[in-house]
Amino acid sequence: MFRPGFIAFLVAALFTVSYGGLRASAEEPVGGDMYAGATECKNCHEARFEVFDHGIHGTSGYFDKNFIGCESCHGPGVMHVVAGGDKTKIIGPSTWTQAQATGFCLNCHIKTPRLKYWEGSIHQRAGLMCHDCHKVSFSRATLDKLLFKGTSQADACLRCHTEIRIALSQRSRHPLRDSSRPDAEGNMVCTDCHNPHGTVADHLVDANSINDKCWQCHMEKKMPVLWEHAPVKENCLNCHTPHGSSNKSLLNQPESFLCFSCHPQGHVGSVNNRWAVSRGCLNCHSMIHGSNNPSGVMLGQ
Amino acid sequence: MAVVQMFDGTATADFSGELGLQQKRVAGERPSQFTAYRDLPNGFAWGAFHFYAESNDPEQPYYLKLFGRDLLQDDQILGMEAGLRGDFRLRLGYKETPRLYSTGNHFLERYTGNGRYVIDPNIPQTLQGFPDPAGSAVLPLTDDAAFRNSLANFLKGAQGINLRIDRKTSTAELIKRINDSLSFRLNYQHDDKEGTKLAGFGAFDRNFVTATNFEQFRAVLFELPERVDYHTDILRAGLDFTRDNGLVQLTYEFQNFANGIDTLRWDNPFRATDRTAGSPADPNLFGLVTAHGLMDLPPGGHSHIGTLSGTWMLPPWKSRLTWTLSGGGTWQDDRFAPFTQNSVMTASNLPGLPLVPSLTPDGGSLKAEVLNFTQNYQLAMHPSEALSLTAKYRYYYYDNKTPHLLFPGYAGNGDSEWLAGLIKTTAPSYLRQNGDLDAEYMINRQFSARANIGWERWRRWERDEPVTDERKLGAGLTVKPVKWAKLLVDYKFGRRDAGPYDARMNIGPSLILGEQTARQSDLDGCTRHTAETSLIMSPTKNIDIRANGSLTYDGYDTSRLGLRRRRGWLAGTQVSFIPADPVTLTAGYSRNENRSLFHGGDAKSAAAPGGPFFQDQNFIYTKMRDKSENYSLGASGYIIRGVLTYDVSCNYTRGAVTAKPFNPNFPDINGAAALPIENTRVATHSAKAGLFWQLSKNLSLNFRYLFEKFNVADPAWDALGNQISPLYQDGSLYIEDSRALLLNSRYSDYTAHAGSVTLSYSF
Repeated sequence: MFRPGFIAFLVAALFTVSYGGLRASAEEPVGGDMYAGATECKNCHEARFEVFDHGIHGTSGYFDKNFIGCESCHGPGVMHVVAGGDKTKIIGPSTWTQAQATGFCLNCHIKTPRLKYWEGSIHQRAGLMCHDCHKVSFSRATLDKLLFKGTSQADACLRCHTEIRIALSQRSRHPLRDSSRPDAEGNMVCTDCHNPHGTVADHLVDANSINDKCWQCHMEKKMPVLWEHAPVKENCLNCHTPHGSSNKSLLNQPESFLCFSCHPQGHVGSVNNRWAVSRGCLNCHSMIHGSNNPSGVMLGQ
Repeated sequence: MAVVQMFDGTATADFSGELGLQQKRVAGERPSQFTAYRDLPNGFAWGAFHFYAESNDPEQPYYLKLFGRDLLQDDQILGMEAGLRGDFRLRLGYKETPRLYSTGNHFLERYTGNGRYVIDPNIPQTLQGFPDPAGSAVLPLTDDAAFRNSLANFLKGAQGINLRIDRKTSTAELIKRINDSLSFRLNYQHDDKEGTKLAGFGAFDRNFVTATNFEQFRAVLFELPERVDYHTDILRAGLDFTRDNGLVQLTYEFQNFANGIDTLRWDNPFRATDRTAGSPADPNLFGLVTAHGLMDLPPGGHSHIGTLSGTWMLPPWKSRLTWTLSGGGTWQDDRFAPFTQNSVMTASNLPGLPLVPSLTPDGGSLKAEVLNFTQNYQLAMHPSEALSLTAKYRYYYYDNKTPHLLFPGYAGNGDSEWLAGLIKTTAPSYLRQNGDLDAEYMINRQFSARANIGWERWRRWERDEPVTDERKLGAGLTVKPVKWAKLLVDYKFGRRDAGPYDARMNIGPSLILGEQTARQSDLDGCTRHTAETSLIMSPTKNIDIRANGSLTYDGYDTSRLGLRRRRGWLAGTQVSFIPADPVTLTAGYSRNENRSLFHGGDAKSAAAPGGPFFQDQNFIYTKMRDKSENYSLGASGYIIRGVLTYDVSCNYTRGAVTAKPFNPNFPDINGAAALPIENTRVATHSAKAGLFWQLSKNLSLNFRYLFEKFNVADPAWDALGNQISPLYQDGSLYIEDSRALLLNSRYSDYTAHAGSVTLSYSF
């Protein structure tokens, strides 16, 4: 349906427009080229400096010989100091474009394996910047070592992914509801499955495929067996919705309807139907993920 | 948090730890559901703690971190991290995650180990004595009060069991920097899952297998606690090579899965002895034949995976190439379980069993092998300051090399009949490839436009619908009218088509009925339109607004059965507002709704039960709607700055799944009526409050309160008013005397209050 000519036209048009002179104005350096040193920063920003100095970034100098404290990210600060703290004389990443702001972080974090798929990832394409989710300064001893904004990692993600907030309070769910309190269900975090910076697999799942991620915890479903249920090995999401569901067992439809989507021999005519009560079709087809029993062809044993 | 100097100033340390009292009160049909994923014991409780120390010597910057949460509880977390900055890092972790399905289930059998449940012989002997109409010409009774009473009496004396799995995960990670460019990684994870979960077993009893009346059969549904004894080990070792312009990683991974229990075996509570055919004229006519049941549990196996991945900056157009090449395999060679537990089914009365010499009922194995190969390439380019291009290609090959085995038949329908005939196993393989080309152009600081074209192909071996292609096209716009607001709008179109049908592959006892349903399974002819938007606004320093929404429409132009159409929409917002310095307010609302039209198989005519299947007049349509929404409110702030702070929030989530079957042709030639299905409804209310009182520099007091109210109404459960339930096929002439003995793991509601007071000390 997409003819090669159309695709070629689209690509050519983009290049033409690109070289046609329409370009964003690059931000010029605002702080000059003279560094003031961390002590100067501390004089005015003592509280913030203390947090930074004892945080992860404050100790990162051990990894980078060029580490120069606050000015590593904020740029040379002498003009800012001389001007009595004029904010226009110092770099503030929050006022920069995405490329400029993330560029500061990537100067060091290009070597961070989890960031290697950042460029071209869905969050990068959506214009997100590092400080949309992360803090720069945080206590070094915190459990929240990844510097997330908010009370927990999930809190940072759910600000935008509001539909997940619904799912986590549903009848069946994975346990990552509000890890900020000891009385909450919080033994999982979003990054147990996702890498928000970009991945090989769909949905920012941090593995070679969706199934490869699920199998890390549910490895009993990974092994090849005598009688395979083909959709199972292709994609767990064919049947499950992982964050939460109104249905049992994280199913994306009620049991019998889910099965009849591909096996429409019957129907669920009423609630008294033996294929509708309790676990539906799984009342008998218990080994729905596959059976290794010589008589398990119908996935019943 | 205070920081203190230790060891004569050579080290700096800080610490905080909590201990306190907590109390909960839970009421409802099954209160244990409140603790499905957590442990909240009444009484004394350790809270969270952490300890951190680091050397002040810049030449030897050692550090140590210890942390934990919910100590000595079933959901405890413990961790340690130590290292020499710039040189090495060692992390150790331990985590327990409970999964409590239900408590207080009554089960008639006793576990004797190694997956074996044993029943008091008196129970099946008694229950077998009740009239069993199988094999007779008399339709069974719809209910048998004497049978129910007898079974109920046995259940009164049955042991109470919990369905619960405990997961314990231990992890270790070492990263050692060899030089400025090279570092070594070693990860190990051991995971134990032990406990029980719900399993079901169904046996069938076919009656009257005649030309006109071939589907009257009754079922025995039997639920039991499946023993879980899973042990997983994952070992990863790798080298990271880094330069200023990139990174290359080489990783080897070994995974091993062991199931401590090969098979689950039990005694049939309804029969003490195996039974021969009910009618010599019809070998398919068995009735509740097996006195013992068997289920083959997931087999153990292992994997080896090697991965070469990396990212590198390339000179032209400030490009970055990122790639992943991964290959490996998975092997499984567990010994087969017997064909059957039913003594009636022996080689002597079922000639030809077994056909494959190696597949003696108590021997043989599959020697399964799956090879995986993944390639992923991503090239991000910036031809100009304004233009970004990203090209992606992905290749995932699941190559199932498992040998094909030939079987003479199988013990089907819950070990209740031998279904003869050669059956060949399949070893489905697939190759998934997809590619995308994304372009983004920044027109000016206010507008960016983007476009995307994509393609995806599934190639499946040993499937009758081997090839499916999907093509996608998308466009979007980012608008930043002011510095404090950003709006993203995207539209995507996709079309999925299946290739030629290969009837030769419609083999074996597959439940796929042919080309039509095979195409449907692969979503042939699906057209998808998706529109998405998101908004981020911070008009002042005190207000943060996030909103997102989407519309989806899926249409299927060739499928006759199954899903016909789906429409969905999502809207959500989250607002944070600081009206005055000490107070932060948050509010959120989101709603997600999907509507679909489902085209089911036919309801067999009550007037002509022996009539053919799949008559258009009898097809039942179902309108389905899955709706869920969430409301949240919160406030936090301080009453006395630095001394008394608070945090309160409430959350309400509800979901509903409705299914409305209808027969557009009713009344039709056969009178197939659609019967109503009740709705599934779920609601969760929660309210939390916390008050933090800083008593002194080192001491603080934390008050927490949690309220949760949960209820679910599910017709699939609500129909099970009793553990022993007569079940009926729809249609008045299809009443069957199905017998069920279920574990009653359902739950409907709970209301919980939990409060705690903890004293925290920190230095």
